[in-house]
Amino acid sequence: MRSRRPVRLTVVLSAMSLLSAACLGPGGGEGGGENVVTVLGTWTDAEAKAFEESVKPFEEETGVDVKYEGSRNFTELVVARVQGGNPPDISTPAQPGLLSDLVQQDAALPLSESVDVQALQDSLIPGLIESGQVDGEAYGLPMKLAVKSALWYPVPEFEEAGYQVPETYPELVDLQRQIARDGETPWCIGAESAESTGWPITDWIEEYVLRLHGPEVYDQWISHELPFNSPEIKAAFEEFGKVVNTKGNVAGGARGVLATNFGDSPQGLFEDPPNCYLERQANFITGFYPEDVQGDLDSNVGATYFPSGIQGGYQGDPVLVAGEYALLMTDNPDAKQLMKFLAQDSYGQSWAETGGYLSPHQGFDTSVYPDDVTRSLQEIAAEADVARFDGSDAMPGPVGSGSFWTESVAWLSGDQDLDTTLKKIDESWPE
Amino acid sequence: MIYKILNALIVVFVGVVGVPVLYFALNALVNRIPGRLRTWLRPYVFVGPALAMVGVFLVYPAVHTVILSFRDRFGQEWVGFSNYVDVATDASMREVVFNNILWIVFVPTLTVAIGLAVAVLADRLKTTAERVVKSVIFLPMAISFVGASTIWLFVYAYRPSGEQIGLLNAVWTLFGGEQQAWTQLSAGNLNDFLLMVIMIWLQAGFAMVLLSAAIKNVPVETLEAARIDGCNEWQIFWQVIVPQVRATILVVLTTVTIFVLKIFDVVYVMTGGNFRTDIVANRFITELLSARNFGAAAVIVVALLMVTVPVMVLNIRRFREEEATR
Repeated sequence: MRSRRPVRLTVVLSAMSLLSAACLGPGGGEGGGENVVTVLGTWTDAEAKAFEESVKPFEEETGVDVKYEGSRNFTELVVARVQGGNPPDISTPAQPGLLSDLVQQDAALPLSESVDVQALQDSLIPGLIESGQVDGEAYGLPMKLAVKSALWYPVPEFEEAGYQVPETYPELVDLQRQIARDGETPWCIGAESAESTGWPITDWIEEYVLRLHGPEVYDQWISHELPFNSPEIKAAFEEFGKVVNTKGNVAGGARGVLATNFGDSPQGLFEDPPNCYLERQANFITGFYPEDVQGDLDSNVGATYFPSGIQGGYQGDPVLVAGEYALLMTDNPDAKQLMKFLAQDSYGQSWAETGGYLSPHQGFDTSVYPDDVTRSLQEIAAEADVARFDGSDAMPGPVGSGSFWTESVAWLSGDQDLDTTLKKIDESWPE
Repeated sequence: MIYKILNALIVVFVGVVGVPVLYFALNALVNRIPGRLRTWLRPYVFVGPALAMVGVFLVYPAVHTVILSFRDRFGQEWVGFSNYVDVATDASMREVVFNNILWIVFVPTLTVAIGLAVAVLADRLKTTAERVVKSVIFLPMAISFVGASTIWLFVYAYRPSGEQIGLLNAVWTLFGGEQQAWTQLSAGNLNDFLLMVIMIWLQAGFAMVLLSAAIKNVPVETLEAARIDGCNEWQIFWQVIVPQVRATILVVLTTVTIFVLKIFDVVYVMTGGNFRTDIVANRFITELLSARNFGAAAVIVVALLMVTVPVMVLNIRRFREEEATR
């Protein structure tokens, strides 16, 4: 009997250690600790590899191990990790609204803790730092840019049909009529995106607020000094309503828009003959193109500025942008070093070479981009008079990733009228 | 991936081997304690781990949720009843609650009706045929809610241009109808009912199995007596069979009702709560994760809890009564 006791004890001990070790996994622990920096981001698969590749020089130089974890449910995950007292060293929110929520939960450190904010501001495309501020203090480090004001068209079919690439908004309206007269469908629009259904609608509204009223009204709107049910914002909704509800403009009308996944909608550009000839969508949409198109972007598709100059509207060229911020969440000195690395204007060259990356820095070497399409996207951002960050991403969560999406869907589907829609969005704005 | 597999293996190992080992170890420890203390302590040692688990994973979160419901968006400052007022006065919340009531009224009753019908009719088939029919009806039970919803996404699929892939649209156009975006058709709550079909499809098998067992337990003598007295089959069903399986019907009804109160997967996958199909549990998820409004999310959970508890109590009481009569 006696001799068996140690055996039992070992069994118990091993059971205990198993219980405590039951959660293996990359990036599991709190922060990184010694010589490790944990990064939680939105990029998965190929993009995750591209990010890891982009920080290799940092790892080699400093000997610090960057542990990256990417998830499609980034927003849920980062909120849960903060709630659980287990934040990553650095996270990469793409929404200033989420960033501001994290700051308000005391889960982030100001940018001035890790980098020279003034120097950074001079190097970046104007307006980006401001969108990552909370109460006048900069938190978000812009590290990857998305250009939303892009108009995509199939190059060969466009030339064949003799269509001109529109340079002003009236030209775009004429082109739209011309395509419809030829018996074709001008627009591809998809607003379905599972639990995020509706976000493409909000991008359209933002474009129209900028093009109808300019950046000042836009700023008042996203800070809710100007409510949704003001005549200015209502006009922007109506302008988008015109695009969707004009008969023959979009396949299936509003129902078609709401039933089509945003990633599937550009497929229509590449059918033979095309199901539709124009799409307004951010630069990342190329990742959803058919593989043969992705292999040779330049000869298949063109990207131009979604034109401005609506009659009676704002007469400048505003551009709508978005992108990921790096946000420092712990006091880890190695993480601060990584922030410095990410803030360099040359950061992202290896990523840019593989495609799908636009630098937020003005001085970035555009020759490393793999194709003319990417270069023209960079030009859209560089040549604009004024850049503004995606408004829905900048609004507080209950509106920007809540009612603005869902109520817009309810309006477009015809379930409720525009006035009710705008009123309901206003009511959901947190005090 | 390798980590996930390892984690799964560890969890299975700890669950199957670790837990008995833990009990043996604790028992061995108690054996070393002398005298009366040992007899006093032993039951607690065995109940203890279970109580601790329930406490940590059920009671503590429940209490914490109630606390959060009185705090602001981030769970930091006390705000009194203002979250409750916000949720109660939110116009779209009324629609959500109405949809939930539709689900609670129709899903359990239709599930039981279909389960009962299949059970009774299958009872009259030859043994092999009965087995086949029951297996087919029971099969969806093996699919998760999310999996089932994904299957039904293809049934209801609609494309504005190009080739259609939806099964329902194929049938509909065969009979001369036009392509429809089914899940968007909110007139007359049609899309709500289309989503309920998924839940019924999943649960009818469960109802059928329980009811079939109950029907087979109905003594043949009572059926023969009824026949001799001149009852037709319809009368036998309603006046002889149904009263004798009443208890089972109620158990199935309450169980499915609890399922329905918790359901969110179907709506989340099919429509994300758009097109006026939102229900309470899905609304909770959107408030918590998309809108990051912890206070409002907590209020919804508290409300859901208050509705679920009476149903649970009813269920347990009935179960006890049944045990007592056995």
